[in-house]
Amino acid sequence: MSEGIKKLIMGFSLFTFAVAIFQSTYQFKQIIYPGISYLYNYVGPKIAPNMVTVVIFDWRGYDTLGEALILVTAVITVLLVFGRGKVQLGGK
Amino acid sequence: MSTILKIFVFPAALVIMCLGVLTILGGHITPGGGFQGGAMIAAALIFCLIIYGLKDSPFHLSHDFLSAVESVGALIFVLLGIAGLAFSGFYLYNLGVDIYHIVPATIQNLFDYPDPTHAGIIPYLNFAVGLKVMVGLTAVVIAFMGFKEYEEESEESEDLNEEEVE
Amino acid sequence: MIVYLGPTALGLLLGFVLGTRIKDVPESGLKFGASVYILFLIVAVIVSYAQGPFPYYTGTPFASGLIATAVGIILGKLVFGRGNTPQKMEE
Repeated sequence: MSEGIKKLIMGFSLFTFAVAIFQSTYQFKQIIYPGISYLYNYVGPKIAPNMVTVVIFDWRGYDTLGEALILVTAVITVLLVFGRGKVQLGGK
Repeated sequence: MSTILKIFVFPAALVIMCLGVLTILGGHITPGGGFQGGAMIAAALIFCLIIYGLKDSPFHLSHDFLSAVESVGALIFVLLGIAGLAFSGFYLYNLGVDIYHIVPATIQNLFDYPDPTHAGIIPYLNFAVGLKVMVGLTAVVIAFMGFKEYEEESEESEDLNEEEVE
Repeated sequence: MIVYLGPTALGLLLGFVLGTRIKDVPESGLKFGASVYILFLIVAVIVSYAQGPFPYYTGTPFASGLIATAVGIILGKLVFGRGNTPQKMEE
């Protein structure tokens, strides 16, 4: 692709992205739907006193599953990069 | 490392591990929880590793143990979610406190935490995450300190094998 | 004086898992005899009294989770304690 076409595509996508962001921040308050969280703010303190832990593990438990998956992936990657050729730590 | 450090570190690491477990256990009442408590236990293990060195450390962490404990921690998390899927319709549904009252009473009593707060499966999830974090951080530090010192014996045996082949 | 089952059982389990990993290395100069573990038990009891009933339970005046973990560590060392380093290749 030549330089001119690349610059044209870049400018067009930047313009679209900027319009989308400014439009959403301008009318941000009408976009948020507060409905369901009011229910959980009423039920949550009855489960356990620490609201942060309750929201992490009960209301958003799926995201904590993703966090645990990230931990596993990070450990596997570090062991792969730094342990090359040295796999036999105490396995025998 | 000096002698005073070598005398002091092992009991201090044991007490720090006990405090880390206490942080995990009180995760649903006080600030803390699985991630923070797991990091504290990993700090105690890394303390011992730095002072005594990789070979003489009193906590012997082989590769099999590290991978097994991490897998067990992840499996407990996932299997609790599947239990929620099997008994109600939702993945990771809190079976101890069912908000929608769709689970029979025996299963709710089975998965409840015996505690004044009756927090459901949240403390068990904290326990699983604590296991994962503790083992993961220690594995990374052991990888940085080098596996090479454990490899001296197998390197000698590999050299002998190469001489026999040639 | 009620001791709740939840923190005690989980503390015993976690302490047991941690205690199985303590080994003695005979070739370095270190030797941790029984006196170290008795001292550790005394310090654990003192710390649990200083913590108070840890996460605001009202049963006992000491933190039951800490004492359960200390007992679990010592139990793990006694049951599964290792002698030598298992990496010595037997020839």
